[in-house]
Amino acid sequence: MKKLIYIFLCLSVIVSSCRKPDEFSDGPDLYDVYGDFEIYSPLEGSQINVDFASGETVFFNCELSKVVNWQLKITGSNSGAEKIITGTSKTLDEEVALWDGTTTSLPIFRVENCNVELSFLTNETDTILSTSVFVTTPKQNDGFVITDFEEGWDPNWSTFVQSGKSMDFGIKLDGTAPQLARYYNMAGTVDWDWLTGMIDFNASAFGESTMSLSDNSDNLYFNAFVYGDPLYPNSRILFRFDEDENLDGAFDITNEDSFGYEIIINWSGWKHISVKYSDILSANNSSGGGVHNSDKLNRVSVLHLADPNSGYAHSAIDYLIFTENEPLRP
Amino acid sequence: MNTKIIAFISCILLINSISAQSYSDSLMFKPSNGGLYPKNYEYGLSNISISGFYRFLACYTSMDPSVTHYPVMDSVFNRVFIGDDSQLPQLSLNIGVSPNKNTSISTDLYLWQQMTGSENDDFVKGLLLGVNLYGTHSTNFGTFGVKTGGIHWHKQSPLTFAANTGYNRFSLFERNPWDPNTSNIYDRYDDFYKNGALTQDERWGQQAFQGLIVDASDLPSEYSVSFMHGKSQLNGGSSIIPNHLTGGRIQKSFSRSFISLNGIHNQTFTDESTTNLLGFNLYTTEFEFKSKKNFTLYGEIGKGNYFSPTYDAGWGNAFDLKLNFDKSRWYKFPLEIRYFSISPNVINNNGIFWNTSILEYSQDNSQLDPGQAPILFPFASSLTQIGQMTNNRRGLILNTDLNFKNTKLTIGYSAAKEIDAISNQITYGHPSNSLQLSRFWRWGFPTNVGPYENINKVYRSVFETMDIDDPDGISAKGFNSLEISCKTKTQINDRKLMLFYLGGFHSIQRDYNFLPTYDSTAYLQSYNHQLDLYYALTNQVTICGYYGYDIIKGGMYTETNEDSGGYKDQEGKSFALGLDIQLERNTGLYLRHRWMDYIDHNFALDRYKGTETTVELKIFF
Amino acid sequence: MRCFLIILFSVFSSGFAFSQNGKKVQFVGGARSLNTLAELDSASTPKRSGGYALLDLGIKINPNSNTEVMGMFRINNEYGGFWGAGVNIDVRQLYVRGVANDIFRYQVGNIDYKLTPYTFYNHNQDILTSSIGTLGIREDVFNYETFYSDNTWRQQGASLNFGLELPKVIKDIEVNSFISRLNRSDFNFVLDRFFGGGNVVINKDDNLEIGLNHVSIFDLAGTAKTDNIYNNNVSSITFDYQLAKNNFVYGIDGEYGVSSLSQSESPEDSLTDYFVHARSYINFDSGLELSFGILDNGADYRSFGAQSRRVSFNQENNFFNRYMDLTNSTEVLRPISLFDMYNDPQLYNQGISVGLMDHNPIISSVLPYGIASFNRQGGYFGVIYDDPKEFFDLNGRVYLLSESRGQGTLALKSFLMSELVATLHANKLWKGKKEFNIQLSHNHQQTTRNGEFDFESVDFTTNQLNIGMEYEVFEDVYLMGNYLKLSASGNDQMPIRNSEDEIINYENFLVDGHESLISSGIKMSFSKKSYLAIVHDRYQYRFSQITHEYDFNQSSVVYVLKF
Repeated sequence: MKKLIYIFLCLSVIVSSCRKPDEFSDGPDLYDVYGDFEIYSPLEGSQINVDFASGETVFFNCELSKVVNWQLKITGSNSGAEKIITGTSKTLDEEVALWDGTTTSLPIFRVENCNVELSFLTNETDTILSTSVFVTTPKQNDGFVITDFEEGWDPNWSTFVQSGKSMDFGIKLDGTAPQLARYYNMAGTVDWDWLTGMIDFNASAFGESTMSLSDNSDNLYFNAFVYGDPLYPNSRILFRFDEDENLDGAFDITNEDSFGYEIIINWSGWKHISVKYSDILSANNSSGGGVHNSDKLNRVSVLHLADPNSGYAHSAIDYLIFTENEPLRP
Repeated sequence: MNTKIIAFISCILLINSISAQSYSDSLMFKPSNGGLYPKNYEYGLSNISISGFYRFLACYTSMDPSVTHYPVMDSVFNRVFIGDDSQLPQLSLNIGVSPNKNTSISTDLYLWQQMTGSENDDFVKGLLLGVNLYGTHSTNFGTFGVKTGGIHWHKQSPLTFAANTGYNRFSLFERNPWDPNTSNIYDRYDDFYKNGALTQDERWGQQAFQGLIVDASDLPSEYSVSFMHGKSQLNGGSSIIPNHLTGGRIQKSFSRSFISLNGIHNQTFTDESTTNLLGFNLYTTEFEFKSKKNFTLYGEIGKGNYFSPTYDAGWGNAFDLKLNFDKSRWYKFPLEIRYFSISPNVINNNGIFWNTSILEYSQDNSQLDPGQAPILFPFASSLTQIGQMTNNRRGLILNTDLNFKNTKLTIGYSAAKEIDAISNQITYGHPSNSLQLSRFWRWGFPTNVGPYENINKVYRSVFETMDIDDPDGISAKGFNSLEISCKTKTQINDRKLMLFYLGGFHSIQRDYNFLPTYDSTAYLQSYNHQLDLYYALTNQVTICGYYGYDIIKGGMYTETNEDSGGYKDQEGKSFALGLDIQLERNTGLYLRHRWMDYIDHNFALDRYKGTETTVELKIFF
Repeated sequence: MRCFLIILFSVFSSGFAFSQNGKKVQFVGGARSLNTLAELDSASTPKRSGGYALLDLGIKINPNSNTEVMGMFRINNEYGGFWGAGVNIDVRQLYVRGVANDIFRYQVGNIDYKLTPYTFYNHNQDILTSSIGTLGIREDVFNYETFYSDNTWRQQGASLNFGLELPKVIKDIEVNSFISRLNRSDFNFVLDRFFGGGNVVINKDDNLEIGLNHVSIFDLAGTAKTDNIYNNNVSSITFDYQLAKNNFVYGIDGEYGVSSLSQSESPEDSLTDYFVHARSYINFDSGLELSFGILDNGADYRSFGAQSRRVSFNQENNFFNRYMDLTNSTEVLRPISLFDMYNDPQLYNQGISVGLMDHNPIISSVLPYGIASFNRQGGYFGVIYDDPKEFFDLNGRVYLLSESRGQGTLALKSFLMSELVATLHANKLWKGKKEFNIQLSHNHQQTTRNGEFDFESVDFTTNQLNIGMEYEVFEDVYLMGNYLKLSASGNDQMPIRNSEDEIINYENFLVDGHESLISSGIKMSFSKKSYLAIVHDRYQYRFSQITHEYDFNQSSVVYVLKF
């Protein structure tokens, strides 16, 4: 009996310990670390034309011999917009090299041909692969567009421009807009006041006394494209949001809320700014109670400010849009 | 089925047949091998010894602001101090563990309550001597003892590693922190009268040492050896740059004599890259020969040197020879004739002489951490008590004791001379109020303080510096000292009364002279008298009294005061009363109140007057 | 059925009690003094000295004979600190233990615990060679400092055990359990983490013992602002079955179990695997023991109670931690060497660590986590000879192992490791009374892999040789000498892991060099537990591919006393 137990224990252990080697390995492949770099297949887009407006996307394929760091750069040939996608893999496919029409650097892509370049961040090669894709319609953004200036001046807007020197306030069409074709320029010299000029975007432009926005200001984001002139880095912009709390069709500064978001323009070129509506501070001492009622927004004003001692100031705005859930992904 | 529920403790002794090595390996998978460890229980020691003392000391100093001009007393003329900044704590515990007859450990722990009045009482705790480890190993050819760990009190030979014990000429009125309680409160004074000395604690004549001490005794042919390697308090500190003291002694004993070879070497580096050496060497032979005809020859002779990147003057000689004559029919009183000579190139502040010749050693060698108490010595040409030697000096000392019926007289005379003319400064002390003056500055050893920035504080004393501007240049000065100690015992109303007188008469002059110079041609004259009185009022209470009087005069070519144009003309008086009260066995209460009055007639700011009151409670256990 | 209680104490003594002779207080502990003078040729301060003297005083208080409270504090004074300077007083350990109702044995506080080699075990895998002489003294010191003995880990927690006897069915059942805390919640994103488990040991009879073991490292939900619960469970069965014959005993023992590792917020990264280890042995009365074993530890087997290491090589040295690279006159960090492991107890951990710890392939590459190393399978053969005349002892083992899963390739590494400890008590030759012991200990490790590509090839060899000598010149006075050499050559592809222990890259580890230590000294024993030793070490570091070479000499005086 004892011997049987002994033999049983021996056999059971031996049998259960027969393990086949695994057919996979731990960690990255050694070839990826030490092997030679080779390009197995060229860079190709999944389609030649892409209609982002209808929800299409495009991805790029490429097969490599090993895992490397790579960078995909898509450049609009007309707009100069750029989209950068980076990754670390040995294969580019829909999972890692998908373009949904968004941009990394303004301006936004237009209807245009885009050059696509794949470069490799490794010492082993300086090869750059190229292809192209044509954007038939650029990406449409969900949200409430206050204006993108493409329709020109709206008579429901109002404006005030100081009588300073070299004042240049107005909609421009000169090919430098970050979104589509037009933008609003603000420039001039005012040596007695910070305000050089302002524009009011009234809700009446939409045929209502308030803008059709969600009442959840925690989930509402204000976005705009703002231009910084490298030669005149002395501009500030104040975005002011006036709420018609009592829905009487007019804003009363003494007992209704006005919120202000001021930015100091210390960059060059176009830049996307975004702020959560509920984070914007009161501009009139919370005269209306200080509660953000985004659904009662009556007017959005854009004020161009500059130190009166600083001389000529220049900035510009484009594509004012409210988005929900997240900031705009241009 | 009977089910017996049996509970057992898993601290079952291991099966004896399993060796330790195979236990951890071949029994690895034995299921009962797991669980809590250790599996077997070991009993500990039941006995450790704890002893120590409690000493509370409070001091209240009150100075007369109208005549006290010491800057340290500016606006703060009355001071309360709880504790003793002479380093010893309030409660001291000595914990001893002896695992077996060959090994033992001791450590001390002290606690001090600062009594600041804060709600979170500021207790200070720590170790004084540290953790000390002892070991003994007996063999057929000797017994080897090892001491290591914290601070041990050690002695090698007087010139290499020991503390000066002097000739027991000191006042007993102010108690030292280490003074023990005696069985009877009066015994302290009685012992001093009878023996000329006090029962001192273990550190008497020894220096503090931390490191490794190995003693070998009972060696064949009556040899004994000791070796030490570590740090003394003069090269202590926790700097990583090596700074060690190494010494050794080999002694051969005879029936009435001994001879020994001793050496001490100190070495450190002046730079972080440990390339530039700094240190000293001293090698001596010590001997004692006792003749059958009532005389004893004792001596220590050696050579030493100091080395540093900037100093290398070579080796110098060191002698200390004593010839003692006992009382006999040829001479009625004991006489000691002592000759000493220590070269300026020989330095070793761990021995019984001070370095007064090499300034950079005095300033730079100690690498103590902040918070440690350095031991400072007077530099320059020092006026010292008879028996306290310095380097760069040679001289002759005569000592004798005369005993009469109820009076004992000891007289010492010294005539010495510097070897090289190095310093144009003299340093000297103020015996009457030295301890009180040192308490003007607490918790540190500042130098160049006082109204004329010439006072330096050392351990429980101060010394003052005086400049010499001799048109004939710096000289190798002569030093003469006469010290008289007279102890008288009598009775009043059947109660014992002791009177102890101590007088010192010193002069420092340009050149050597066997006889003292008691006029203004001397650079310095110092006369001091101290009279102690102890009256045993009861068996538990002793009344103590003290009177001290100093006169110190600067002579020609010494510094003068700009305003008065006069030399130093200092006069110090001190009168004190006290009570020693034995509260219980091993518990003594000691009260002292002192009136002090000091003036320099030519240096107007050098003036203070006031009182000091101390209360000491000491309990031994 | 009749039930009654019987309390069984020690097999060899009755009336066991924590206190002797009614004494309520006992004292245990130890003391040590160390003074060193060291020189490292290319350090900015080449010569350094230091040391300390410490006393560990433990007070055992027995309020009754079944209970003991032990608190131990440490008094440490720095070498060179006079009159109270450089003194630290710390608490070293604290626990209470006892027997409740004469049934349950418990201990709360600091506990030293182990279970099985695959669940909860301190394999001490970086000290691969056995030491006597000067290195034996150093091992004594760092093992004491880290509370290491008998392959246990020190934990902070509680343990409980008791036993049951069912005499007509089995001999007895012992139940052990423990729980310890690994880290405390920071009330933010770090949860309270515990390590608990135990075993049930079934003694069927004198021949068969079976253990059911389970340990678990787990986070306690709700103790921080995160729901990411970490879990590492290991369950196993251990067995030991032996039969006795006339002049030998033979048997089989081993362990078989499964492990799982998971985090609740990333279930896809969970790891589960099994392990098997079986050893058959035959022990002769003559002192010869032979064993043959097989093991199969899955590549995903994780058991941090058994895979924790005593030394983490991802830390800086505590002295001479920087020295000059003379080629460009810059200060570089000095990596931990084998000599540092013997010299500096502060490099050692006392408790287990969750997560795979860095190891030094030069020191241990075949079984970096002891026999609980994952991704190892194969067999081994061992010989032990314990001379009844105490003249010669031998302990040797040879492992032939391989991976079960490749790293970065399907090709598998093969491992060969041999261990040998031989001790000669030379005085037995001439029947001398004074001891003369010579010990040789050697460890050889070889890792190889061949693959389709050159970069897959691995050929790495490391040897560690430790020769020690103790000669009693006079009674209780010993001359000691040691020679330790660690040499390594070849290359290995070492995995680089992220914080989740996933392999993210590889390092081509290439070396050809050695470390060597010649150590000599004299020891004077005052008693069995106390001695004074004076030691001089000469150490050379010659792995120039890793860092600049250097020489390190050190003289030290150490006094050790235990009570």
